[in-house]
Amino acid sequence: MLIKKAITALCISAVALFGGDFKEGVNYKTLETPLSVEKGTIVKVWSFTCPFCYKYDKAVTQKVISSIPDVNFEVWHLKTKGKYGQQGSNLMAVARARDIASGIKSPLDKKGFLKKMKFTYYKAYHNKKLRWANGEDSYYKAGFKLLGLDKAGFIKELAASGAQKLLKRWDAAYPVAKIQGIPGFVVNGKYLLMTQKIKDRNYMISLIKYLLVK
Amino acid sequence: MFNIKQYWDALKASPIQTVAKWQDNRFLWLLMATASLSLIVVAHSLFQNYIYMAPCEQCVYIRFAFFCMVFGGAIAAVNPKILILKIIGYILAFWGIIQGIMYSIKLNIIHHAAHGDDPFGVQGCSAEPSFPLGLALDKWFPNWFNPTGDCGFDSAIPPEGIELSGLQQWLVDFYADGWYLIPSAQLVNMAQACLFAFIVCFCFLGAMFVSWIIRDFILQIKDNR
Repeated sequence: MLIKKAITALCISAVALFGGDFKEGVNYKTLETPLSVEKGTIVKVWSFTCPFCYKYDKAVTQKVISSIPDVNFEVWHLKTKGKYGQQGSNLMAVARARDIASGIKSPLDKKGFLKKMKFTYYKAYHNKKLRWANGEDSYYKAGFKLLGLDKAGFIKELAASGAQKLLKRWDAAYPVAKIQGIPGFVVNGKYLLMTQKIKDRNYMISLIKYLLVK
Repeated sequence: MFNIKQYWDALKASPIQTVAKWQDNRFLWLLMATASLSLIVVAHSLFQNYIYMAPCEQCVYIRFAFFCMVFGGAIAAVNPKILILKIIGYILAFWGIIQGIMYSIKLNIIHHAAHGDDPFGVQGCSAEPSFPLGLALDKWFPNWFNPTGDCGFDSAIPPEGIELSGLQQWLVDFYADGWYLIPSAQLVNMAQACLFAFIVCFCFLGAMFVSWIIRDFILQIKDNR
């Protein structure tokens, strides 16, 4: 088992070092307008309505990101997807702003509001098949409960600079999502992983490592 | 009955000449247009509107492909003896079928990834649909072409609180896990059924086209020699 792990790690390192067969336009695409993020950042563009985003977050994202040391990971919710896309972004932004304010660095931290919010709405949409036909109040209900807020409190937190900064930052998710859909992973603000070419977790890790040092 | 036997005997005796003659008449073109339109209407009226199966992205592309066949069939059927109408009919119908086959194969791959444990190897869900030739069909006819469903899923999801009729409820329960030809066994999903329909159409249209080319062009050239 240990030998198998060592060989896998060695292969990943070798591919990361030498680039393997990764090609522009095949395995990744360089964005025409780079995202304004620091070097060493991975951005995930997603929506709570996207079944593949849910699948990646259940089985892939955490394991991949934790395998890459010293990486800054951000998740950008896409406000244009689905009937409650904007409301979803509002909730995620308030949740993430709270996490940042309380010193929770990673959006994957299970103690954070963002992770709880994400899975609350993933489960509601995909497992319970809720579509909130009665309007946005019914949509917001679970999110308000999680945040411990009423509507007025939520509006206040949403209007605060922390949430507004995030919402503004996430606006850049749309042009990325238009290229090949979501989930979309962007490395260093420049390189979009071609999701269709991702064969498994190890491939994804080695491609990200390759692009981080490119 | 007599007519069917007569047609069958003619087909057996001289298949190319017979099929070439049939494609000079309206019947086969109208049959293709009607069958395609029927599938679209069933998908839209019964599955989408009546039992709340929201169409996915590839599903609306497949609709578009069937519409190409409807228009192709209808244009040729105006008068299949007029060459230009027939050519437009063939081009539209073949284009629709080939597009439809590609969309169906893609939908099948997405369906398996969405329903299985392995999410890899698929592109994911588009931010917005993109129809051939830059047609903004989702904006012009949103009820028909806006993909309101989730990619890879076609479960019947009625809005909360809505009262369903007995038949609606039965159909919603019948397709609770999505559309399958045999839902209880989850056998033949929507993508596979569409792929089968497109392949059947391709075979029939291909036979019509080949017979026409042989009769009017290849045999003509031979005769002229």
